[in-house]
Amino acid sequence: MTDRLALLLHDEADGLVVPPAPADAVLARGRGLRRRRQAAATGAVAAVVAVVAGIALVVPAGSRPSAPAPAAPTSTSPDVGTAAYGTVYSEDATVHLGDGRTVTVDDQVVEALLPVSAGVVARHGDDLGITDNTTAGRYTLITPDGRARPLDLVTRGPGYAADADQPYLAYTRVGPGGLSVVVHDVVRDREVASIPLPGAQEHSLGHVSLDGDLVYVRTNPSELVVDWRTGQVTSGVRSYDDVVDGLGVTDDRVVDLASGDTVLERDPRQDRTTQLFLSPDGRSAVESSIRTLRSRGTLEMTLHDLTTGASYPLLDRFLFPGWTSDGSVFALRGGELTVCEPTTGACTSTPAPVDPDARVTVVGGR
Amino acid sequence: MPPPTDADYTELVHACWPGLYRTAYLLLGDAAEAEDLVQTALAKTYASWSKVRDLEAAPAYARTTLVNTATSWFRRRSWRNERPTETLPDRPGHEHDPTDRPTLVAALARLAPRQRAVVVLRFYDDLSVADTATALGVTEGTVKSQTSDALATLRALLGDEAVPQTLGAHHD
Repeated sequence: MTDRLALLLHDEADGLVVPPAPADAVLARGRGLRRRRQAAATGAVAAVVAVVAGIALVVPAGSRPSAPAPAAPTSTSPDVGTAAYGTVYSEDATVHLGDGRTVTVDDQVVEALLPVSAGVVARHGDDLGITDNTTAGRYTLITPDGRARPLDLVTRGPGYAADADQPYLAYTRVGPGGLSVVVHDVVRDREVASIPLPGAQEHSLGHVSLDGDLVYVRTNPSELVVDWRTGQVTSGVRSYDDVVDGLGVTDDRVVDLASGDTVLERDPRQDRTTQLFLSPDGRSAVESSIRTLRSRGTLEMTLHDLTTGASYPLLDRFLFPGWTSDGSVFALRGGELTVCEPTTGACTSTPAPVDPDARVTVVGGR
Repeated sequence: MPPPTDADYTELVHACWPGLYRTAYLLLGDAAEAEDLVQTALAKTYASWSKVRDLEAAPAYARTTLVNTATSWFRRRSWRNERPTETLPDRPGHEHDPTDRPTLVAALARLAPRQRAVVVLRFYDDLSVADTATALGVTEGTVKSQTSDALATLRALLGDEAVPQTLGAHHD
């Protein structure tokens, strides 16, 4: 008697057109998830150690943050989780999608191009040349099909971030009730979490990173780590310039947050003018030194494949590199767009005339 | 237990993908969400390799993870609030002529999420009441009552021919 319904179900399932298996995307998500779980476990241990050692947590005892708003499902949009993008860059308010198409946002200038799982989010405003705590940043989601959707979101200050694997933006907000970390779903265009940061001072807030369920808020002197799904706030032992896929970046090294191991260390011959730029997928990094520009008239740059440990010299045009969704690094300079493959170091250049007076931003760049 | 090589896991993903996708589609009724659910389940399986331990055990682990993940999605208030019950979904990615019979997926979409999961696990994946209860983290009694309610709804939507009156009583 059960056969009829079972047959209908199998008939329905057999008639489906099954999409190709995105094995690379699955592996990338799996690696990221493993790192995050390990990092979260390490972070919990570190928080306990901090209490035992008598280090004052930023969140005072007895003042646990209120529960965040319910989180949205991980993915609700057809393009979430699989969005691909190429050499996306902006020239003032015009965003070049890398395939000849352009999108113009309704503002004076684009300040940042943030990769998210649904595409790229442009942060823009009237004049974002100097971003302080009063400068308003507005946002537009640009999907791979070239559509631009302004978001119902305005943030102030430098504390904002996205995660290339998720459809979310995280940012710090100063409101009547104090400081908080807010998470905004860019696909549904709505706020999905708001976690108070009791004890944090507005003037000490700095850069924000979003990595999975964790938002890293740089403060002075330490760092707050916020699990935006649970509302738990802990203080980190060390501040990172950026956190990507379980890796923390400082001035001189890239650290695996789960193990504490140094994944990449700045060339000891270089000085503090050397910068490390991590790719949005956490698989490669660019090391560049401004000192060599001063002393030798050229920039020394190196592309590091963090998965294999291999390094490749780069042309002297990657001072502020961008990244494509497949992990290639690119830069604009001298009227050319140069793209390099992270696993071989092979580079190709194509003409890309850019107005020398325009403000240029590359996707994934800082 | 170290994770498998990229080549081994890629091969596993390709092997598991079609079956998991079909189950996910029946559970969710949406092609994009089904794809994301399977990706999530396979990524979680990779990340939990210390529990999976070997490639042979991975497909079953991934299927359980898929069901658990879908169940956690169902629990979210936003999911419950936003699943339409009056509007029947289209049938994206389907080769059949939608006019040849009432759409089963559309009927499944009318069920409460857990009822839909019970129907898919019992009558598509052919799990017993006990295994379905384990997979969903509920009692066997709940599975039986959800099955009964789900079949009554499907019978009303699809007719006695598709869901005979006695169906369910003999499928333990």
